[in-house]
Amino acid sequence: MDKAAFLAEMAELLELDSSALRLEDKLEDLENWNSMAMIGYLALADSASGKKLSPRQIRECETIADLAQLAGIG
Amino acid sequence: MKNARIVAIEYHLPGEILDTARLSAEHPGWNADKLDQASGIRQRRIAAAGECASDLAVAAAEKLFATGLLHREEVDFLLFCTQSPDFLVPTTACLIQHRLGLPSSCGAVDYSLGHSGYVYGLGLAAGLIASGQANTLLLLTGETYSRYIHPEDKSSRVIFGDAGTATLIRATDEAGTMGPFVYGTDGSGAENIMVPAGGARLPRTQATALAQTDENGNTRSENDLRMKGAEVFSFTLAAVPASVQQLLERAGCEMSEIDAFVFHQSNRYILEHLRKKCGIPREKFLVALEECGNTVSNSIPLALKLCRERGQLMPDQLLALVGYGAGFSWGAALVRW
Repeated sequence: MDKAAFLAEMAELLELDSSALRLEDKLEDLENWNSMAMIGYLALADSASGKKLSPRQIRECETIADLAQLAGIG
Repeated sequence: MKNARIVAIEYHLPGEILDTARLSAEHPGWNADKLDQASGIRQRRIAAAGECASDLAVAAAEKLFATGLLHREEVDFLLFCTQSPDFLVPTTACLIQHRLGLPSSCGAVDYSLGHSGYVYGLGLAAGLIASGQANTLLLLTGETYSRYIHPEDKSSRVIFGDAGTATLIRATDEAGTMGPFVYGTDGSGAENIMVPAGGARLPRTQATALAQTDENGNTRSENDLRMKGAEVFSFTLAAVPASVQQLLERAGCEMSEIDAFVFHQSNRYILEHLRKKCGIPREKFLVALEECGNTVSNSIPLALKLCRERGQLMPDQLLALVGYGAGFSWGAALVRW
């Protein structure tokens, strides 16, 4: 999975138009970044790289780019 | 050495229905339609005031007796899995022995496990039979998690339903009817599915009854169930595929030899991800939670029975069962039913 595909998947999880989400967007500014979206992200990261992630690592992320990096994308 | 065999399963669901429409009406802000679409749960059944987990299990057991497959005096061991006992003391299984009119020569014990409980119960039953301690067992599950859920806790209220089940297990000379088993435990995850107050560690007080709202808008007190969804899902992703792999290795069989996989019915979104991750074909992966939600230790026997009623399972098929959840605790077993 490349960064563009990751962005598109994250936009869907966050119920945003895919053009409306950018890698530099801050998670705290995204209204739908909640526990449901976090579960979706865990599933996405698991499918993309199979890397075992802990929710603590996810909570330390500040931007969409941090999430991509944590998932081993790009 | 005798083996154990599941002979029959019955279930009982309480009457009150909490469906998508009622959730939407009570909580317009929850977007219950969307949540229920993702979870695959259209309704949950909720125990009435005063209706205990044991009542649900007893009703299921009475259905077993009504089939004529067994007589009360045959039962020599009763196992009851619950995290909602009638009393702190005595053991609920003892009360159930009396209510069901089982002989006084019958052993009876409660064990406390959540979503992995049914697999552990089968394992205990198999051990009691293999060691010659019992021949005819009733494995009952009963749970009323709804009692532990704060009405404003979206994360748990949309998922859990109450239920009771009864499984008749008999000794047999046949081989390959139950087992092997795989077990796992990681108590470091205990706090992720927990009712913090009400036990000996933290008795209920006015302070523990104070409700607070978390960053996701879920309200609960320490007297209520809390479930940290992301932590639970993360644990599941690691534990479940590994236990399926271990089970197949221990059994010395290929995935293609298994007729169907019945996982704990947590919710459809998570089940579908696990199915893909484990590489299980869709037609061999059973999901049955639309009408009852996640019923904790009841979910596997309930799914087995519902799928048999729907014609999705045939007698004498080889089934892989996987339970996982509170503890963290997990278990997997092969059964022929």
